Amino acid sequence: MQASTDPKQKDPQPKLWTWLLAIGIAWTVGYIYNVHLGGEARWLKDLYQKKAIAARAIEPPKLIVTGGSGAHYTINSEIIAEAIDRPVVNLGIDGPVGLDVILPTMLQHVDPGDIVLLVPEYLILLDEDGLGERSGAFAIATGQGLNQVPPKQLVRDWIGIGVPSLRALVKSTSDLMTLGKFSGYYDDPLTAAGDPTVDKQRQGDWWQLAIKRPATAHAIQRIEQFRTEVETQGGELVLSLPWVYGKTNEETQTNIRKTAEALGAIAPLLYEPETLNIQSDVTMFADTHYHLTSAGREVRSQQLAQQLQEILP
Amino acid sequence: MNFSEFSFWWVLLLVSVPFFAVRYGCKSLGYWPDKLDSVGLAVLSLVLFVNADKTSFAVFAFEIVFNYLMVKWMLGREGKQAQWIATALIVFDVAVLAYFKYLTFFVEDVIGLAGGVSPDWQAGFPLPIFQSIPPGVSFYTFQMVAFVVDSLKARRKRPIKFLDYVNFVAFFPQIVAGPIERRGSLLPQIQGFKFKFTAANFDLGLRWLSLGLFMKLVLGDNLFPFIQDLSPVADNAWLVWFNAFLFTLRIYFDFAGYSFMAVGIARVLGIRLTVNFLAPYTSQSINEFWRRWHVSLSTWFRDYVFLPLMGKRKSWAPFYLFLTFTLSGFWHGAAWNFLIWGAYHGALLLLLRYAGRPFSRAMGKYVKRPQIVSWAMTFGAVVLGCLFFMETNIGLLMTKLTTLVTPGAYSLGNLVGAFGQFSANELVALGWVMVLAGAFLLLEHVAVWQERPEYDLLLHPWVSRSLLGLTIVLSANIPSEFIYFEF
Repeated sequence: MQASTDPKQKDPQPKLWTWLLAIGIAWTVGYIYNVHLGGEARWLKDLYQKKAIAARAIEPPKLIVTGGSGAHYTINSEIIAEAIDRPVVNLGIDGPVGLDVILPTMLQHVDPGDIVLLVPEYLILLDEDGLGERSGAFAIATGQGLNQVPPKQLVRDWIGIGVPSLRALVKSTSDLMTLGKFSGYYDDPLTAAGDPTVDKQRQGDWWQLAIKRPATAHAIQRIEQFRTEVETQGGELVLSLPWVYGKTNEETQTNIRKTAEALGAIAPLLYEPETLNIQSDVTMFADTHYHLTSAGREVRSQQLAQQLQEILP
Repeated sequence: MNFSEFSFWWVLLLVSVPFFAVRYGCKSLGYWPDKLDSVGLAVLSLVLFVNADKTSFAVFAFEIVFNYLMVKWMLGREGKQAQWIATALIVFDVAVLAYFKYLTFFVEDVIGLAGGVSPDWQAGFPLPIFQSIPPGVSFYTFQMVAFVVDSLKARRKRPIKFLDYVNFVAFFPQIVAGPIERRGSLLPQIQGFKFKFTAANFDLGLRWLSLGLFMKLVLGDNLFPFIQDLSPVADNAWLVWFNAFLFTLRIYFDFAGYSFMAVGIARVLGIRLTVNFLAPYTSQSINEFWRRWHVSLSTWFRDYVFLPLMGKRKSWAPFYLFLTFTLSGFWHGAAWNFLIWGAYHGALLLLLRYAGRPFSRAMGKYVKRPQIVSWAMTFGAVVLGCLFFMETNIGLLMTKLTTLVTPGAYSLGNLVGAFGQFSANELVALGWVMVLAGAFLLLEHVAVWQERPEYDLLLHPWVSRSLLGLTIVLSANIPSEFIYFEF
């Protein structure tokens, strides 16, 4: 047995650049996969780009509905548009992108006269720093909000975006062989207004979500800043509590009430004071506690339309 | 230090870039005293330790100062006086370790067996109770204890500078999970330390680092979710065996991977650390396995527990061997399963001692290649041992052991059902990990057969670069904790 740290093949003149070459090739392969082929960043990028095109195609004044995937899977734009008599675009993206990246990204789509309806799920409202696990990946893949991500996370995510993972590669290979194309969570077609067209099915059991804290100071402060930014661009901010399949216990209700108070102090807040938008009918939900089925989206949109009509001039 | 956590590399970068930039500038102007290299290494190690765990660092800071002062005092004394100081210091170090690691187990599982412990004893206890051991305590305590003994036995009792002692104990690549280094091998490299950044050191360091990263991030971490999913299954003998087999692979890839990363990082700085694993799964006997597995811990127990305990009573060697292995099991964790695991390996060594030769002779008569049978039996014994190691819930462990000896649990239905545990994509991913792990272990076997250093083929320049490339492409995107950080 030998315990030397030196292998037999000692290279008297090691070519250190070959290490960089190995890293460069592997990382580039990973980057291409993640951003352009079957990686999560590709689907996020595609989702945003499709929605950005939809937003640009709509003449102001319009209603922009935004937030995470809870907003994306919560509305039927046509129903709202018809009721409030102005075009609607669904710019909901993905909660783990984080408030600090979502909001500045949305701001560039705000024109004078627009109304921005922000429907943030509690995942976003309870976040301490406004950044999520996909903030960096989204920013790198789309070029949006790069300056919002702190250097440490950005460096980590730059490295990470070149790392596909074995499981992702196996899934993509299987997709290619069975479907003939890559697939991802957000790869379903969208309507012209950016709404989803497919209802996802939940695989696991349902339970009612508990909200264990009110919205964080950071989330409130960031939304307040967003209101100022929207108004500076000639728009108006309206907020809504999300519909959630949640518990109706004292703790959850108290925390939602506190959140509603804080949000209501920033901008008009749309919600049902009796239920606090906590839903008990699980059949309206698709695959998560925030994503609604198409039938659920219709009900939710009718409610939103009515609430908007009450506050719009 | 958690090498698979980005935070480690980030802090390393933030401290290293300004430090080496200033060093480069000063050196080119001729204003860089060599002593500042030692200071720089100490600062780097301590900052990284604080970043890894503040509680552990606070304990460490106290221990390192206390140990240094006591060793200094000891070196200034002769004979019995020096021995008493050494004994007191070792008792203190072990007591600190016992407090952090074994207090809850001792009170709840040992005294509690007699039923005399109130459920809220922690509330009335005068000291804080730790639910998990601060990282590194087990390892640096053993390194400090070895240092005390080696210093006591040293022929030339020259005083050691505090900075050298700090760098010896706190050297960042190995402080949290070893290798547990000895005074004789590490101290001479640390005394009057100078960074030796050469192309050869970079190249060799990167080769070891790539090997470790591949083992940990590609093999170990991709196996982890399967082990986690299968752990609750206790009624299907095929799955109980398979899960123990997967854990056997993972613990090696995880811990050896960590150790090789430590070797690689240290080598970049110009320091040679002990290679802690020597292809243990090529072993053809349990004896050989323990010469290849966690080398720095095995030799530590041999030199500081087994040999001193046995003394001149050679006829008692089997008993002390068994005792030493049971203690080494207990070192891994404050739980009954680790004690059982240590005792199991002690018992295997005794079995080999008394029945090994007659068995080999008998086998040689009937089997053409007895070494293959020996290897398979050794590996099987290690896999069974891993079942004890991985299952901290004694009730579940007993259920699994009962399943293993129940013929009905090996039914065809259970075998078919075993495949139904995972989706098609998961099975394909598992298949790929097994192919990579098999190829990796095969290259170890080939190197051993060819009497090369164990990792010679895996450290080949182009294999190393390929392993790094594969690590980037195939790493699990959610790294699991290093198993040995819990110990």
